[in-house]
Amino acid sequence: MKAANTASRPSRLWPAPGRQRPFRPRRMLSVLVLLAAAISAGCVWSVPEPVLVREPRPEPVPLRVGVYYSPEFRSFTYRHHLTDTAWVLGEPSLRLLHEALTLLFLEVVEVPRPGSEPGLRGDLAGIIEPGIVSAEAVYISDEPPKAGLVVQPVHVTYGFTVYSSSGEPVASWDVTGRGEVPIVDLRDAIVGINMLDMLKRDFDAMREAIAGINMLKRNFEHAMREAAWKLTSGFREIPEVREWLAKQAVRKD
Amino acid sequence: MFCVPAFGTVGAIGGSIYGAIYGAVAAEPASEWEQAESAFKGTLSDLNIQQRVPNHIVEFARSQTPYRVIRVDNQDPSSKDEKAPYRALASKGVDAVLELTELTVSLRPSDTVINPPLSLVTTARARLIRTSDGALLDERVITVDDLSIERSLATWADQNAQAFRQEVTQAAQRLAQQVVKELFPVSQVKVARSGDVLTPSGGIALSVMFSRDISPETLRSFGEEMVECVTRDLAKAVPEARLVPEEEFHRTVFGVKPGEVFLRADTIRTLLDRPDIGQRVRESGLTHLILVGGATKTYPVKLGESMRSTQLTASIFELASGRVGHALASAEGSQVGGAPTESPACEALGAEVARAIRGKARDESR
Repeated sequence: MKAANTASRPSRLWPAPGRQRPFRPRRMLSVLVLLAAAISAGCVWSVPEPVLVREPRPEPVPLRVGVYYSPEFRSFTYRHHLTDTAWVLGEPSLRLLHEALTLLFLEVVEVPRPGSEPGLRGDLAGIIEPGIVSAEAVYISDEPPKAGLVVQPVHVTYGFTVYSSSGEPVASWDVTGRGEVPIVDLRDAIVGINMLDMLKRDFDAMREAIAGINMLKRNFEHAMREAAWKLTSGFREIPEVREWLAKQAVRKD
Repeated sequence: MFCVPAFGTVGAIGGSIYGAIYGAVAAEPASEWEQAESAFKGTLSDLNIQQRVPNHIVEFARSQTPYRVIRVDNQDPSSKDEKAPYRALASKGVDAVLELTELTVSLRPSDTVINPPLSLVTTARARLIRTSDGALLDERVITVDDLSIERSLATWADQNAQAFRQEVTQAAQRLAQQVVKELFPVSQVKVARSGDVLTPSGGIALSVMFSRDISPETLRSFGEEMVECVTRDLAKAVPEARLVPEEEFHRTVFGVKPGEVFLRADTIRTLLDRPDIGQRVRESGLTHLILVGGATKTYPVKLGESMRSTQLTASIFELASGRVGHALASAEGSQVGGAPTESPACEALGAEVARAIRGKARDESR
């Protein structure tokens, strides 16, 4: 399956002076057809492309660790019913977290199982197993400060378990990232902008507003980026991790 | 710029003394109503209310709003361009036309009794039309009344309708005021600054960025507008300053791409304290990083009424020392009235940042 449209363009209900585009019936028709096709096909696939925060970089942990990516983690997909979109989160999360762990540790080696097993490299201080605990795009916020906004806040929670080199779990914790950029701001419409006129003049913006796929994608990317940042910046602050690091003779400088 | 055409009010007065009908049913002699109606029509004609209301609108809009408003007499919208009847005005710098139609003045009974007391009610239909494409931006019927002033028909008509004349004169002003309030909403803008911004003697080279890490709830497009506001004002106020694109700044100072730095005040300070980044800053000649962020929120003030508030911040980092100053701009206006808050706050923020940088630049040049 191909990823959904990832074109980045600001979604404006009310085009700024000089920025509005003329009404183009043919273009509108093509968008309508595309939308209809997407709906009739039943589902659109979209793959977020999160960027890893590299600065401020974490204090490196001078250890070699193994990392185990379970099949469930690799294939994790979140189905968003409002936009009928399947969000492929497993593979991009794997790439993101692998980069994050590589930034954090001296060396990261992928292993086939989470615990100890014959043939495991003897210089690995432990094995880390990441997973996606939950991922969700909430529909419309009813919080007063957000009234009038179609917010659809997104959250992604990663769970991590650290196993000792002998296969015992030594630490387990979660990190959550959020993406809360509004899908569209309807407040301007409420205060008197003619919706029909807007529909005619900026159909693409309205399409974005209805589907919100691009903005949701950015929200997923932001949530994943933030969660990965919490992993790298807060790794040494997890009490069980500190104990484990102390046993590995790693101390915080 | 807005303009208020005069045509909208011409002929809108005729047949609008509704009170006459109610009064007739309520058993006042028809002759008395005929005389009163004649006096009222004469008064409206004398007062030239169809000119008076637009004149007041222009007067109030000029004095109470930041918009440039002009009066355009005898502007006939019946051009061949049905979709954009005022398109010709767009080329003259007029962004929108306010049409005022269906202006009515009526005396309405305030009670269901025989010979009821009557109150003056004035209404008009206002339409705000974009000149460039004819889009209807706003349309509403505006009504002003003062139901506390109740008079009998005889009192309204007494002494050649003197009371009617006085009330209509005031009602024309109140109607115009209400039109301005509802169709030309304004927001209250405030600015503030904290901390100090120092500029090294070697010249200014800076980058302005929107930080999603500071403002997770803000639309990227609004973030880009904030950057535009600040860079535009900086370019005007400090033309000698070198404005560095975000990507170039990231590559030069942090050695990574945009998005790979967690852009928050505490993390920026941490980074600027690092020797390798200090070295990069010195070699690059870059002097400042300006991070902008902020959001718009709405909150209820009373039943059916809410306020819209935009609060923006620019954190101005002096790269060599790591010191940071802040420029703040906020705008607040009625949600129902549709007062714009984001653009005024954005413009105020740009001006305040430019003042902060320019002020120090001038100090340094002395």
